[in-house]
Amino acid sequence: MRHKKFILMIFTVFVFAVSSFVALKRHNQTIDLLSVTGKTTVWTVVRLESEYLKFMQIVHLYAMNELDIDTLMIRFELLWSRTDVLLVGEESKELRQQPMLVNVVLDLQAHLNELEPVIENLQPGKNDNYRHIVATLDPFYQRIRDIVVANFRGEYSHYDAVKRNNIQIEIGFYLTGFVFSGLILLWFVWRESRRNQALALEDALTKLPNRVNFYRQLALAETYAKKHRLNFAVLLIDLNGFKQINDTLGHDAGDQILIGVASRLRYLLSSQDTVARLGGDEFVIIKNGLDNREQAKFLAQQVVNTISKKYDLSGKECSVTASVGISLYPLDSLKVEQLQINADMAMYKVKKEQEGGYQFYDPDMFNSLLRRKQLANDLVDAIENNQLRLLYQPLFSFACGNIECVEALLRWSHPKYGPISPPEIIDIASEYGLGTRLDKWVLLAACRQNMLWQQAGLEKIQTSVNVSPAMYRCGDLQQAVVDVLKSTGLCPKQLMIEVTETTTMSDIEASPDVLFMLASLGVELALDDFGTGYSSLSHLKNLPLNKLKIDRSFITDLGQDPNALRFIHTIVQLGKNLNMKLVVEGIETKEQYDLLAAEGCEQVQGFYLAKPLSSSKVSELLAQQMADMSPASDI
Amino acid sequence: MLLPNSISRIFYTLTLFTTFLFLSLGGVKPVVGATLPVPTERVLLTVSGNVEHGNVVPANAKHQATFDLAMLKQLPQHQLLTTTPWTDGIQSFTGVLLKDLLARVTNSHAGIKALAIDNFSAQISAQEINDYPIMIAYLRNGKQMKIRHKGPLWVIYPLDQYPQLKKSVYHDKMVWQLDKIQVQ
Repeated sequence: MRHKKFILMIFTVFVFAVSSFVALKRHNQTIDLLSVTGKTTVWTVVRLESEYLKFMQIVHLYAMNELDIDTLMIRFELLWSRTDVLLVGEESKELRQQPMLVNVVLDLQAHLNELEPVIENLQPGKNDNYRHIVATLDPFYQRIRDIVVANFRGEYSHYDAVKRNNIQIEIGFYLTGFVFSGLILLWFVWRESRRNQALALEDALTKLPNRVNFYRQLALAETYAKKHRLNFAVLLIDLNGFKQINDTLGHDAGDQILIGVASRLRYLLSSQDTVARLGGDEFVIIKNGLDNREQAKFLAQQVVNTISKKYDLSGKECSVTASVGISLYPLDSLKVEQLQINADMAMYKVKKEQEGGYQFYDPDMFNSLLRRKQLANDLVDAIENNQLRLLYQPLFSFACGNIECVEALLRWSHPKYGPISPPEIIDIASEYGLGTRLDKWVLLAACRQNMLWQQAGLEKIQTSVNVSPAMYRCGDLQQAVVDVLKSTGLCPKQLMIEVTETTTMSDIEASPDVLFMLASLGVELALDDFGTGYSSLSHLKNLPLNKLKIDRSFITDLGQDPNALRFIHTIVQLGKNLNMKLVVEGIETKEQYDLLAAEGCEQVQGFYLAKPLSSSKVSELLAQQMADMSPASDI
Repeated sequence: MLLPNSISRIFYTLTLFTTFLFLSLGGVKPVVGATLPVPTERVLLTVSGNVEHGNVVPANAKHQATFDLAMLKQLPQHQLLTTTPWTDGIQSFTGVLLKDLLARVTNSHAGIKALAIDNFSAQISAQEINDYPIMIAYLRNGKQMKIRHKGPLWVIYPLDQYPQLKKSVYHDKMVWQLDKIQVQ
């Protein structure tokens, strides 16, 4: 197709060039012909007549003895030369097509030749020779006149006319080619520019307006709504499950889904509304002329419903869902840019909280975004200025009830927002790229505290620290640990890094070396929340883990579910066989404690025994523990 | 459709190849400033107007320079082979260059007006005279030209050598039966 088009284009350009060249050439030829022919016909013939008349006049004057023979001969020569001009050469060739003219001129020349000796020897006076000359040449007066008149009228230009006509037809032919191919070229240009314009404003895949076009439509909608005091809504639509389809079924399948979504959305809307694709799996609707919130709600529900219907991808059925964020003009904002941001916030809220659905923007969303930004800003300062705090929740030995280990837990009391929950701190830190700095701070603070306890002469205990996934990903966890151990002087054995099954396994899989390097340093490793994530048993086999922390959900179920205890029993056996220490966490009641006592776990953690405590409280407990015990013993 | 054109093109190309452009016959240089001799034969050409080295001083008029054939032959001689619209086939013209002739009679000029015996006239600019070897021919194919054969003098442009001159505007300036020159 492209090839054909190219050939057509080349052909058109060729026709254009050839026809314009030939037409121009022929046109010039006609002009030449016209000017030359016109000149030769009229001018040359008139000159013949005028020389004839002059000569006749001179003959008369000579006869009256008023002139010398030289003047007469010059006139004779000049008249003769006019006959020669008509009979010889390219310029008068056209004229010689007129038989009458050639006839007259040849006849005249013959007579002049015949008269030449007579004229040369002519004596003044009206003698016989004079009369002979006049009698011979007089008839030419009318004959030459006839030629002049005929040429003036153009009667003898038939030959020229035919020739000119032929050239004119030819010019017409080539001009037609010229104009036609010119028009085709113009059409090409016009079509290309149209196409380019369309491309600039259209999404190539779905044929929906693109982002640029959307902004235009949004501005138009604003102008229109402002002028007529109307409302409109911006619905931001993001697909859920689209990435999986792209990943598992390929990009063609993904494209099919996008095309399907586009056509379903278009079907929902009237011609005054706009649906555009912003990129990726993000679409946006501008719904004009809304009367109330219910209409927007209705449309959003329709969008959610229509998108979640199954898609048939050449036999395979797929489905995606939509998260829709709605923002209303002028209710939510008078600025269209803000309107889009609002819809975006609402859409993200949907995405976070539910699989598909819709949400209207409400100012709280903006506030929560503000809060997050503020917190992120302040977190930087908090890390720098040691405004964060660590609490320590003890892990007790089942055997002797002593504190063997403490888990460092992060606390942050914000001057404006009060205590910020650890998950939110970590969430914000990872969102704003502060994860590594936060982890380093936690590591350093925890290790330093451990050393302080030791320096106070308290019993040696382990400190366990939770590390965020970012640390694994960046690959500087090992270096950070080395640095901290070096700067604090803590024995590696006393540091335990907790790896959370659910959040960190994928990162650990990507870089298993990190755990081995940590193990080689002598640092101990614990697998947190064991039993809930999707970790396989091969992790237990392959990774250098020292400790398993059984997830609290097993403990919570202890009272109700008889299987729970059996599960714990099995896990404990598994851990023992793999040479790992077993920890149960989340013990809240004596009952739970008693039930587990018989299972043979090494350590226990929970509110029943101790809440997260300040470092000084831990010091007190450790001191008391030392006092209770007669001679101090190692862990 | 293109046939007549191509034939004429080939024809012109052939002429260009078969003729040698200019053949300088005499080694005589015009003696600028030297007094112009007086014609001894029939005067063929009268040069008037801005003439500085003339040989005739008419009453109440400026200098004029008159030339007979012998005087023309005193100027550098040239031969030119070319076709013309009024002759059949290539013609050999012998004569003097307009440039040389003017240099003989004046130090500077701004073109000329060429007049024929029958009072036909044409304007030839100084630039044309400078740019092209325009000839005042007195021989055609080795023979003197009678008035009836456009003689005795004929202004010849080198048409075949300079195709750009093949236009009616230049054809019109090829004054035959040249009689007088008015220098401007």
